[in-house]
Amino acid sequence: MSVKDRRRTFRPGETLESEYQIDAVDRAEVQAVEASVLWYTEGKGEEDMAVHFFERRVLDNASSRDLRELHAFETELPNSPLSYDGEIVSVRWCVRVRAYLKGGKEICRDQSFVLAEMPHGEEAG
Amino acid sequence: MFATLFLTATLTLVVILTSIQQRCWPATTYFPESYCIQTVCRVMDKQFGPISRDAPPERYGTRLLVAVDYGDRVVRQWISQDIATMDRVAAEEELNRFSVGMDVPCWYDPTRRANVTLQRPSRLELWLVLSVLASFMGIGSIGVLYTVLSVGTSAERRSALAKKAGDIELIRESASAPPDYPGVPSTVEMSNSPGVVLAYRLPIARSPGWRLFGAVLFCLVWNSIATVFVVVALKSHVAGKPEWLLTAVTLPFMGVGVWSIYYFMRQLLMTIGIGTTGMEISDHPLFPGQSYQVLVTQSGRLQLRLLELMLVCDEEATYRQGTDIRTEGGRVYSQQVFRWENVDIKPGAPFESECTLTVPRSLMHSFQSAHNTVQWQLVIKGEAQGWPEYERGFPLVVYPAQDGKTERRDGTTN
Repeated sequence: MSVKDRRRTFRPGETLESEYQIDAVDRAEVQAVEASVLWYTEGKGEEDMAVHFFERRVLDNASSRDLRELHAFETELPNSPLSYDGEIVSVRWCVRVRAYLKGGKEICRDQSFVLAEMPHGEEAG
Repeated sequence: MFATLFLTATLTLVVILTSIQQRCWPATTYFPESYCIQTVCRVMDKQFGPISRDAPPERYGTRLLVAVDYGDRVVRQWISQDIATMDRVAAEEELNRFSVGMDVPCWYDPTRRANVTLQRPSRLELWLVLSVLASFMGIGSIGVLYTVLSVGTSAERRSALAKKAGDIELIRESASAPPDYPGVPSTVEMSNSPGVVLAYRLPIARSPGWRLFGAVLFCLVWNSIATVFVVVALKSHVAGKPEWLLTAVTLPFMGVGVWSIYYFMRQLLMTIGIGTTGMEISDHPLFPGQSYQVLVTQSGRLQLRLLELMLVCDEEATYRQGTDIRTEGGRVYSQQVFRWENVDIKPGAPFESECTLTVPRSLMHSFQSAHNTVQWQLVIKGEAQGWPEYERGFPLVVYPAQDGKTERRDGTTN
């Protein structure tokens, strides 16, 4: 899984472009793949989570689609909540890809990024 | 568990409804009123007499001989109306409501024709049972549906479904967060009160009146209980049979009671003496990097050594610990906005002063989720001679800045 240009920091309203592919698994093993862009809280409190972008692709026996192939998606990031590193509460953003395999197995990978307000002229890697 | 609840409630409901229709058990035993038939009976005779052989006052009951028309035949039978609280006069009055030859409506159980009553049977019990069963069915079905949706569904997918549901116009209108700023609390409650001088009047976080009310309530309840203990303990001592264990328990109760009276008096004096604090602001919500005018008012009768206006940020998180729900919070930012020294406040002449608040740029905006919050507020702290230090908070909402610009409510940008 990777984010275009390997960017780690985004401003609200910018477009996040990401792509992923699944290796080391047989084609027929992968039943469905979900990709999401979400924020979640960390810290002493119970974890809260909300999805900003969600996409689900399902294996269709009628077509020759291979869910393992490289797949790209993009989304315009919202105004809030911004990433935050607090003492009791933290807010984190990530791209999450979850693959459902035969037999009820699941594989999940996250790639975190920062949503922050930066002064113009300042690009973050 | 939900499936069991749903199935049990449904089965019970079916059994009850079927037994009512078929006029068999359990309806015949528990809900005979559900199929009572109304008919007419004629009063043939009436009597009253004592029903209690105990010592006076005697209790009386009445009975009527009625001819009940069952459709296929007419049967004569006595109907007793034994109301144990009736005295002779009341029994005579009750009997005088009926006259021989009079037709009166009556109800009977078709499975037991001997059970005739002149009062319409109440179906309250049946409706109560049916409504309880219906609620169990509702709870069970919702739980089953939720479980079915949750099994094999990722947290992200459930969240996406919930977000889609939230996009429905009717639901969006009642949503608590502004649609363009997810995770930011609504400003409706803080912006719906216009100020006298500035645009908005901010609501206070916790009114001192509630603390006084709490003190009064606790004082009354505790001292009522303590009084009972004291009276019983004293009586035992006066009677020459002292209850030492009760006396030992009463002493700490009295101690807490005395403290509660002291605490209540203190809160009362503080509420009267310190008076109300008001806060108005020129615009709301706030944006980082922007400046706002703030008007502080303080009424009462006191001499303040120091009055401080602070901009503070608190984090709060809620979590489960076993069966308890705990909340932990902490102040993560505090900035003095203005301070006034040696302020003399007289009754009828509240203190008023305006100052400028600039919201720093590099701060987290207001945030609210189900279990975690980042909350901003303006806090007034006062130190008065002869009074304890007091603090009053006024919540406000700070939005995230956008694109190096900040957007005002009127749509213009800075």
